[in-house]
Amino acid sequence: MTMRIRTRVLVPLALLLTFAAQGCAHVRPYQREHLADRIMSFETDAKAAARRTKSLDAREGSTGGNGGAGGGCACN
Amino acid sequence: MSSARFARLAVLVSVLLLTLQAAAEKAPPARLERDRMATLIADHKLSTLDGRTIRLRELRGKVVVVIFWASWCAPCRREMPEFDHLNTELATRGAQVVAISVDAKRANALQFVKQHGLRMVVAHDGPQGLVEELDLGLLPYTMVLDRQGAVAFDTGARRDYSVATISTAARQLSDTPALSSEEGTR
Amino acid sequence: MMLDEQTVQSLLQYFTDSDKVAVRSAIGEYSVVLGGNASLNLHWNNERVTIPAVEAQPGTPEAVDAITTASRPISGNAFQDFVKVRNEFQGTIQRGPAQVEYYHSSESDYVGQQVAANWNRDLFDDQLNLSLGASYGWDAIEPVLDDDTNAPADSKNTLHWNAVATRVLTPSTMVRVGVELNVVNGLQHNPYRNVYAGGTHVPERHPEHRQRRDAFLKLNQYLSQRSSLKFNYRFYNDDWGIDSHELGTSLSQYVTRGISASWQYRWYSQTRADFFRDEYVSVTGIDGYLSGDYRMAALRSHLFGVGLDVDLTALEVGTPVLRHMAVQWNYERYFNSNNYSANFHTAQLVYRF
Repeated sequence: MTMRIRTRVLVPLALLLTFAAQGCAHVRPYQREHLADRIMSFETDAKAAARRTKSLDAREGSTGGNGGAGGGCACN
Repeated sequence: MSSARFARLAVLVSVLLLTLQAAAEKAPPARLERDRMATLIADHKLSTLDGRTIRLRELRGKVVVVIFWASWCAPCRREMPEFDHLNTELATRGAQVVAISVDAKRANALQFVKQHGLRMVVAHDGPQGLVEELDLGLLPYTMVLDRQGAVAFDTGARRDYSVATISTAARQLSDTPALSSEEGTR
Repeated sequence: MMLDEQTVQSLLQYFTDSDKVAVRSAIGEYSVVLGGNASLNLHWNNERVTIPAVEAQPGTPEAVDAITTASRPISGNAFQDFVKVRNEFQGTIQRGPAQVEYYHSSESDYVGQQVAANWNRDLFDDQLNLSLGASYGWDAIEPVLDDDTNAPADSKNTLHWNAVATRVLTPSTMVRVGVELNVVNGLQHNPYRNVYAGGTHVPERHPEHRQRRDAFLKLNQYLSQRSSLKFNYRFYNDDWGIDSHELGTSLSQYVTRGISASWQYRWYSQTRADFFRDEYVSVTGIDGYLSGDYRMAALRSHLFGVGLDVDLTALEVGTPVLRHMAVQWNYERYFNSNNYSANFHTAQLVYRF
């Protein structure tokens, strides 16, 4: 990866993340209705991406980026 | 520095920043004392899904199981039918369940109640009503009020409670005889 | 995340591409909540892959070339479609923060197995979720008897780790970041494929060790008009010299209560593997490796998708059966710079009880 790409992509990405983190609110469980909506789900996307990856694995050189679990509802 | 190492470093730094940010946020207010909770609950006007307005103060003399729930909350959806069964059983003991929905839209709570044929008293109060006043840290959140309206049991910060635990507490309280008017004023 | 009820899902996916390969996947899934804060998920997939017959007149040079560099077993009649059936099973048990999983996949020349474990924990008053996962996979490869290649039985194993953090930023925003590492050892090329090199055909050879790493970022934002906007970025790098970038975005919008539509776009770009060349001068290739697999080449791709999700539960449909169902339909169109394109059609039925 060239220094130019590194500067143009990863540094703004890290800055964006830092910036996003500054705007955080302490979100209480009863405020999470939108986060629990199915159109906000990471997991549904991960399943669809995993199915697509199986087919694209035969067409592209890299796989991954679908790992992880949890987060969102804060329901006990 | 190789690009892979840089990417890993960028992500690790980001995770660290996110974690530190979460830790550095102002801690949520301490849980209200039960007495304060009881006072706030007693006087709050609740609008039921069948069009009535009630105050829990009016139910003094009964043991009342109060459950804060939402139709979008998976554990709530699982427990509501169980609380409806408990309500039917408690009715014979002079006790009842009151479920308070914190859904943003009343229609969502109403649809859930209709779909599951729930018969207990269900009120809609939204996310900015009593639940915000009490600043409850869990959902569902359940408390059991004794006949005097005091909070005798609440799920508090516990995550290992069960409907069975709450049912036992409610039954025990409802088996406790009500105080006579003389005893109540001592 | 725990389930709230029993769920049965059936999904049908149909994949076709410009090489006329067709894959029909019939997937079933069953999820149930068990006692003691536990859940069980069972997944199975029956897949039928059809690789087309050699498209050239028998006896012509074009037919010979297609056979000798084929990526499918050529045994007997190369001028018939080759059909392969794959069966896949996955069982997952989750209890509290821990999850274990077993995966098994089998087809005529390949058996893959994997065990995986994951642990996740909510922290800081549920503002942050940290997840750690690992898996070990072991595959047995027994190439089908072939008129052209003579590849022996072989194996492959994969070690995988991932660490993911999910953070709630606002009542309508969530972000997820993660890193993954895979170490793969064993057979990693197509045992049926030959490569033109030094004026002749030689079997394809890839390195037997590969370390793959990726980092990703996902941002989900709920918008005021009952819609959501999602962004994702992934960077990938491996020790074969492939770097890739993936950028994706999707928009989901409730059309009415219970019905949502979605649109998505994904851009992908990768560099070539160090040992990949369009043409090899010597039979030894580059450092002893040769590849006829164009997924080792530099390429760019685009993917567009549309979807429709109908939740009959929310629509308060009258009949007891329909009232518990949701139906989803999805179409994705993929094309890359190697003049390759593909279509994904997916239809899914979910029943909750």
